[in-house]
Amino acid sequence: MSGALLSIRELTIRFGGLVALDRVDIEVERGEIVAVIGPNGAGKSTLFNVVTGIYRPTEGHIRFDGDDITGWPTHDIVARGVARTFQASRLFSDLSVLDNVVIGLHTRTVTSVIEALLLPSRSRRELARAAEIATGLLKRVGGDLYDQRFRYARELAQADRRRLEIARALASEPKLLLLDEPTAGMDDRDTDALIADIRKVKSESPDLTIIVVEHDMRLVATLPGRVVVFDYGRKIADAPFAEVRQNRRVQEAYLGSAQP
Amino acid sequence: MRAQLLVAAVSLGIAAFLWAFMVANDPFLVAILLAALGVVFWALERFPRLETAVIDSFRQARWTASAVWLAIVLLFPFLFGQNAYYSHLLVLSLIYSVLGIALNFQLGSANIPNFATGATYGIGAYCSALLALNWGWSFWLTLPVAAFAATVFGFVLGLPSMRTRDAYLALVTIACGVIIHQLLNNFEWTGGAQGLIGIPAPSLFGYSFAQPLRIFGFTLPFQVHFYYLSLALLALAVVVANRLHHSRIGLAWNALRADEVAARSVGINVVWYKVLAFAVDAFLAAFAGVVYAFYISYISPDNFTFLVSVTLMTMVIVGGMDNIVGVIVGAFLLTLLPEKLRAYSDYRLLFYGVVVIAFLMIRPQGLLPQRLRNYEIR
Amino acid sequence: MEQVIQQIVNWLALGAIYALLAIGFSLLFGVLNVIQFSHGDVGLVAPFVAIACLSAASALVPGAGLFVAVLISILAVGVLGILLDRVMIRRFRTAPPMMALVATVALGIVLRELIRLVYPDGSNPHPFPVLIEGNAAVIGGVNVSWLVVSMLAVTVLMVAALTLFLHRTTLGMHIRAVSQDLDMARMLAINPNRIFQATFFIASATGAVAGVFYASYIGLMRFDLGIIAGLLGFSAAVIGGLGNMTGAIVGSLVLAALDTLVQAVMPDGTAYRLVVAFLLVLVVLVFRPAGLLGRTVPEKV
Repeated sequence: MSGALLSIRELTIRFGGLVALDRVDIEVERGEIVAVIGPNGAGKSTLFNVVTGIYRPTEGHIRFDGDDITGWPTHDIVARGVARTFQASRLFSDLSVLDNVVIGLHTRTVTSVIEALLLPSRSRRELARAAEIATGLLKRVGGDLYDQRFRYARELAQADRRRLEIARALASEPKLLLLDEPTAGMDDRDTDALIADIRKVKSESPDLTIIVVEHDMRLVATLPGRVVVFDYGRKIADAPFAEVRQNRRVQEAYLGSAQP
Repeated sequence: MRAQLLVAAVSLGIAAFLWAFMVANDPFLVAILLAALGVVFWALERFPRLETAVIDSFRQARWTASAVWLAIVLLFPFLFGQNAYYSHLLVLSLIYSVLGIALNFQLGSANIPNFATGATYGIGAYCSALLALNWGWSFWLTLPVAAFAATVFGFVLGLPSMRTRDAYLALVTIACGVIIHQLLNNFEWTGGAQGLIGIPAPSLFGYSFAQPLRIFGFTLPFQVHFYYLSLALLALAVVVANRLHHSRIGLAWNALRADEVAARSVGINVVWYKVLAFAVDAFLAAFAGVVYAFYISYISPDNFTFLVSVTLMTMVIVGGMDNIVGVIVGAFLLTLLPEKLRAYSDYRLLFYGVVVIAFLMIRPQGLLPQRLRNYEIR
Repeated sequence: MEQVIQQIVNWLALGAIYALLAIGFSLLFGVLNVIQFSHGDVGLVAPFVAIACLSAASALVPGAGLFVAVLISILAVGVLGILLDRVMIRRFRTAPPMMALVATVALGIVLRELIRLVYPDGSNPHPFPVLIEGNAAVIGGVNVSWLVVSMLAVTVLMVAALTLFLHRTTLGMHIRAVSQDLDMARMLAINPNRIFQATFFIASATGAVAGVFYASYIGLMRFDLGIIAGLLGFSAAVIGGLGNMTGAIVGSLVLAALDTLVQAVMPDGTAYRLVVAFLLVLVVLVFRPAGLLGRTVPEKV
C-alpha cells in the first residue's frame, strides 16, 4: 500500500458478457498529471464512471486519499474530493452559467432543510457567498464566461461549454480532477486554449491531481506526466509519452498488427 | 417614487381585474376580460423589458408592495359583501394555489411527475376529519398530526423514486394514488364511498368560524373566515417555497431536474432530494386537505382522485413551472374559469385536457415561466 | 374442482385481454420510446365504433353484421392511432419524457370526454353483445363459452402473427431495426415516419381487439372503461418488462392470475382488485425496475 492519492487494484467491470474493464491496476500520486489513451471502446470513460461511483465494479478495489471508496455512491465520492467533466458536456442547460458553477459548490455548502426554512438570511447569505466564489472562478477560467454569466448555459459555444464544465468541476475544490475527452469536437485553436487553461489551473493549484482521457495526441504530448494506454479494457502500457509512442503493443492497438 | 407608483398601479390593476372577472356573469364580458388577459401576456412576451421593469420596481419598492398587497388581500372580501358565493370561490382558489405550490416542488423544481398529490391531500383531510369526528380533536390540533401522517406517506412514496424515473415513476405515483383512493373507498372506518360528514367548523378561543363575520359594522358570510385561514396557509406555502428555492436545496432540485447524472457528479445526493420533494409536497398538501375538510365539512374519496392530481398538474403547467406567482395565477384561472363556464360544466374535463395539451405543445414553460436567479453580489 | 377450473377460465380470459393491451404499450415504447398513456382509451373506442356502424353493417352483410362492424372498428381505431400520432404525439418525441407523459394522460381525458359527449347518452353504460353466443365445451362441470375460446384463440393467433411479422417481413425487420437503433436505421434509408405509422396502427388495432373483447366479456361498454383497462394493461407490460413482447404476455398472465385470485379468495375481493394489482406493480418496480423479463440497460454516460 503506497501513499498514492488514487489506487486502483484488479478493477474489473462486466456488463452481461462484455468485459469493459479487465483487472486494471493504476496508481496515481498526488500532483501528477496522467493521460489515459486508447482506441474507442477501450474502457476509458468506463474507468471514470467506475471511479466516480456511477457504475459499481464487478471486482477489484479503489482507494482514494486513504479511504476504500469501492461501491460508494457518487455524491460521497465527490464530497471526498473527486470532480469530473463529461465527454458530451453535461451542463444544466436551463440554468444560468453562473448557477452551473454555484451548483458545483454544493459539497462546500452546508445549509440543511430546517436551516433553509427557519434561518433564511443565513441560507441566502451562504448562497450569495457561493455566487461570489463562482463569479471569481468564472473570471479565472478564461474566455469570456464571466461576461456571459447570466445567460442560459445551453446558449454557450462549444469551447465555452467545456470551460464551464471545468469551472464547475473546480468549484468543489477537488483533490482529483477527471477530464473526459475535453478536446472532443474542438479545432486546433480551441485545443491550444484548453491546454493553456489546464496549465493555468495546475499552476494555481500545484497539488491538484489530474487524469485526462484523450484522443488528441497533441494534447497528450504537451502534458507532463505519464500516459496509460488501454485496449479492450486492459491496461497495456503505463509510461511517459516518449516511451509509450515506441511501444509495439500500443501501435498495434491503434493501427492493427504491423505487417512484418 | 416611480417604482412605488408602478407597484401600486400594477397591484391595484390586478385586484381590479380579479374582482371584475369574478363578478362578471355575462359570457361576452368574460370573453373580453380573457382577451385582455391574453393581451397582457402577449405584451409581456413581446416586450421583455416590461416584465423586468415591473419585477425590478417590486424589488425596489418592497415596503410599498407589501403594504399595498396586505391591504388588498385583507380588504378583498369586503368587496363582495353578503354574497357568499364569491368568497367561496376565493377559498377554493386559495386552497388550490397551496396545492399547486406543493406540487411545484416536484413538478416545477425537480421535474418529478407526481400523480399522487390528490392522495396526500386526501390523507391530510381524512386524518384530521377522523381525529375530529372520533375523538373531538380541534382543527388546530389535527393540523400537525395530519401533516405528519401525510409527510410520512410522502417519504414512503418517495422511496420507490430511488430506482424509478420518468414514466415508471409516474406509474408508481399513479399506483399509490389509486391504492389510497380505493382503500379510503373500501374501509368502513373511513366512511366508505359515502365519506365523512359533519366535520365541525374550527373555532378559535370559543369563536366559531361557522358564524358570520361581524367586523367594523360589516356583516360578512362565514366563508370569509376560511378565506383568511386559507390566505394564511397560502402565505405559509409561499414562504416555504421561497426559502427553499433560494437555498442550495432549490438549486439542487433544479440541477437534478436538468441532468440527474451531472447532478450526482457534483455531489448532490439525488435520492435524498427526490424524497425530500415528495415529503415537502405531502406536508403542504396535507395542510390544504385539513382546511378543505373543515371548510366543506364533508369529504369523500371522490374528492381525492387521480383526476384531481391531473387538474393540479394542469394548473402548474399552465401557470408556470417553477414560478410561484405563475402557479397561483394558474390555480386562480383554472378554478374561476370553469365556474364562469358553468353553463358548459359538462365540458370541464374536456377543457382541462385540451388546455394541457395545447400548453404543452405551444408554451410548455407556462404563462409565467421560471426566472433566472438573481444574486445580490456586493 | 369446479371452482378451480372456473377460475382458470377467468384467468385466461382476463390474461388474454391484458396481453393484447400490454403488447400495444410495449410495442409503442419499444419502437417509439413513448409511453402512450391513453392507449387503453384508444382501444376502448372500438366497441363504440362497432355499435355505431352495426346497423349499417347488418344492412350490408346480413347475418354477419356484428363481425363486420367489429372489423371496421378495429381498422378505424388503427387509423385513429395514426392520426393521434400525426396530430399530437409526434410533437413530443424529442421533448423531455415527462411532457410526453402528461400530454398523453391529458389525451386520454380528451378521448374519454369526446366519447361521452359525442356518443348519444354517452355518460351511461350501454350493452355490448356477446361476439359469439353459446358454449364451446363443458369441462369438469364448467361452461366454457365460445367467447372465451375465441378470445384465447385470437390472442394466440395475433401473437403468432405479430412475431412472424416482426421477424419474417421486411417491414417487421425495419420496425425492429428502428426499435434498436433509430439513427442507424435512418442511415440505412429506413423512413422512420413510415415505421412509426405502421407501429401505431398495429398497436392501436391490437388495442381495439382488446377493447372489443373486453366489452363483450363484461357485456357492456362505457366511456371510462379505458382508464382502468389501460392502467392495468400498462401495469402488465411494465411488470413483464416494457419493450418486450414475451414480457408483455408474462406480465399479463401474472397480473391476471393475481386479479382472479383476489376476486375468488378475498371476501370483498372485487373492491380490492385494483389495490392488489397496483401493489404488485409497486413491488416489481421497486425490486426489479426493468420488469420481470426486462434487462436493465446501463445508461451510457
